[in-house]
Amino acid sequence: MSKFSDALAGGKFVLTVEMDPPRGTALGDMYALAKGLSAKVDAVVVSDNRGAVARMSPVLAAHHLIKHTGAEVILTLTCRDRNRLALTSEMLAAAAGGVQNLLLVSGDFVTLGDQPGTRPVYDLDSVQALVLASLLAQGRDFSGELAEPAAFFLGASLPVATDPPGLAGIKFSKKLKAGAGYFMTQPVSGAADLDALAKLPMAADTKIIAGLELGADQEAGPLLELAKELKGGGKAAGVHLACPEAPQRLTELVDKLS
Amino acid sequence: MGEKYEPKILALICTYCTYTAADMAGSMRLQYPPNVRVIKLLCTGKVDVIYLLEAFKAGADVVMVSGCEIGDCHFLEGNLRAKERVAHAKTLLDDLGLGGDRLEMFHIGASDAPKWAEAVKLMTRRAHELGPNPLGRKKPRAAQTNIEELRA
Amino acid sequence: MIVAERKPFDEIAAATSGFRKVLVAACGTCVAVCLTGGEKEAGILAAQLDMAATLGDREQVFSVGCVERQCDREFLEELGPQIAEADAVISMACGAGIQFLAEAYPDTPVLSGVNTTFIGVNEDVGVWTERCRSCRDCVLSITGGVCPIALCPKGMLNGPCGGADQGKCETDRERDCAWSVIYRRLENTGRLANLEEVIEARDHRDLLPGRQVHPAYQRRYSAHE
Repeated sequence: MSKFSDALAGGKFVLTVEMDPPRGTALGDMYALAKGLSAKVDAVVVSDNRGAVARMSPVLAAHHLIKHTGAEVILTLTCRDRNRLALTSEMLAAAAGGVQNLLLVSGDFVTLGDQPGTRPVYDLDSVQALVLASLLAQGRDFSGELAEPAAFFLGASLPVATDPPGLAGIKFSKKLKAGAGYFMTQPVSGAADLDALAKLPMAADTKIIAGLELGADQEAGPLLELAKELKGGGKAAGVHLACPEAPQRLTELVDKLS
Repeated sequence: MGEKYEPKILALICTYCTYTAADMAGSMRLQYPPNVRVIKLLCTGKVDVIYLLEAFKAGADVVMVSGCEIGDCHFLEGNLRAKERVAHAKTLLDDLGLGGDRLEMFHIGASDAPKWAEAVKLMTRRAHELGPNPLGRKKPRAAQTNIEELRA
Repeated sequence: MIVAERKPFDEIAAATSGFRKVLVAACGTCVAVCLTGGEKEAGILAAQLDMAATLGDREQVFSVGCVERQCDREFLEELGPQIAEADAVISMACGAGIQFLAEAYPDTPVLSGVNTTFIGVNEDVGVWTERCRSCRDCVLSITGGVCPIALCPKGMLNGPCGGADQGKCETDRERDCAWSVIYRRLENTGRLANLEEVIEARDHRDLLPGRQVHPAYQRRYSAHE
C-alpha cells in the first residue's frame, strides 16, 4: 500500500524519525531536515502538538512535506485535540493531501503541556480512533457513506511495561482488532525493555518498532549501540528516532545507522 | 479613649491538664499577668472554630487554647483535633484581616504550672505587640449568630 | 454525594460588598457532610464576613439560615421569611441548590459561597475523592466497579494510554492508573474476559441539560405539557 508498509512487509528493519511541525508558520527548516533524511529513512513521523504544546497543524505540515521533499510520511493524530468529526475531517484532508500512513494515539494529557487549563477532548480513545480510520477505508464513518474511501496504513502506540503486565496484552489485541498494522513503542532504554512485549502471543506476527529518544545534550553512542543491537536481535521490526529538543541531531544519528 | 490598653486574653483550657496546672500555679504563688479569662472545658476537643471566631467578635485581644500534652488526652485525641482546628481558625483570621497570630494552641500537663505561667506571659506580650483587637474597640456588637444553635 | 469546597474568602467578601443585609443560607445535606456548606460552616463564614465588615467600616449585617436541602422546593420555602429581610443571599449549597434557590426567590440576588467540585465518596476523615461523572451510560458492570471516565483523565474506555508508568497515571505519578485498578479487580473476580471486546465510542449527549421523569409519573408530565 504505502512505501513504508511495503518495507515492513518485505521484512526490512525500518528506520523512522520524528519531526515536529513548526511553532510558527515557516516550514523551511522542516523541508531542509527532511530533504537530507528522506532517502535514508523509511518514514518521517510528523508529530501532533507533541507534549500538548500547540504547533502548526500536522496535516498541513505532512502534506507540504510530501509535496516539497517527496518524503514518506507518517501522520500522527491525537484524540486529545479533536472529536470524532474533526478526526474524520483531518483524516480525509490527510488522504487528499497524499498521506498514506497514520499513527493514532491518545496524546499527552493537557496538564503536561504549556496551557494546562485547555479543555481536553478525548471524544474517542486510541482504539476507537483506529476503528474510525478502518471505517474510512471502507468508505464510511460512524454514521454513513462517504463519497470516497480514505485508506491508510494504520499504526498505534504500545506501552512497553504495564503494571499489572497483563494490561499490555489487552490494549495490544484490541488495537490489532481495530486495524493497527504496525506499532510504535514508548521510548525504550535497553533491549530488555522489549522482553515483556515480545512474550505476548500476538507479538509474533506483529511489526513492532522500538522508540528511541535522545536528549539535546545526551551522548549518541549508547543509543546507536542499542539501535544496532535491536537490528540484529529480532525483538523489533525497526527503530524510531526522536530528538525533540535538537532535531538537527537526527542527521548525525541517521548517517551512522543507515 | 486614651485609656491604658490592658489586653483581654481568653483561654479555653482542658480541666484535666491545663486547668490543674493553672490551679497549681496559684498554690505555688507563681506570678503571671492578670489579663487572662479562663473557660474550663472537659476537653479541648470541644473547641469549635466558631467559638474562636465569636471570641474575637466579642472583643478578645488574643485567644489561647490549651490542652494536654500530645498523647495524654483523656479522650485520646481531643487535643489533636483542637490543634487542627486552631490551625484552621488561624487561616480564617488571616483571611478576614484580623491575623492568625492572635490565636495560639498550647499543650500543658497537669503538673506543669510554670509552663502555664510562661504561656500567659507569652500571650500577654503578644497582645501588647499586636495592639488591641480593633473589633472590640469599634462598636459594641451583639453576637449575630447563636452559638447554642451552632453547637448542634 | 456531591462534594464542594468553600470559595476563597476574598472572593465571597467582594461579591457581597454592595449589600447591607446578607443571609448566608446553608444546606443540610451533601455540603454539610463534606464540611463545606452546612449550618456550622455558614456560621463560620457569617462570623468572618461580619468581622471583616467591621474592620473595613462597612455597615453590613450577616445572618445564617439553614434548610435540609436546597434542591427541593418544599425545603426552600422555609427560607422565605429570612430572604424577605435580606438584600442578598449567599448560598452554601452545591451548584444545583444555588440555582434552585435563585429560581425560588428570583427578586433577590443569590451569590455562590462554594465551588462544587465532584460526585464522590468520604474516603477518610476530611478526605473526599471523585468517583462519578454522571455520564448517563454506566460501564461499571464491565469495568469491575471502577470508573474509567471519572478516574482516567482521558476517559479511556479500552485500556490504559501509553502514558501510564508502573501502574501510575501520567498526570500524577502518585495516582493509580484507573486501568491498572480495573484489571486487578476483574482478575480478582475472574472476569478478565470483560476486556476482550472493543467498547464503542460513547454517546456524548450527556452534555445536553438533563431531565428525568420517574416511570410512574410519565403520563402526568408527557400528556399535559
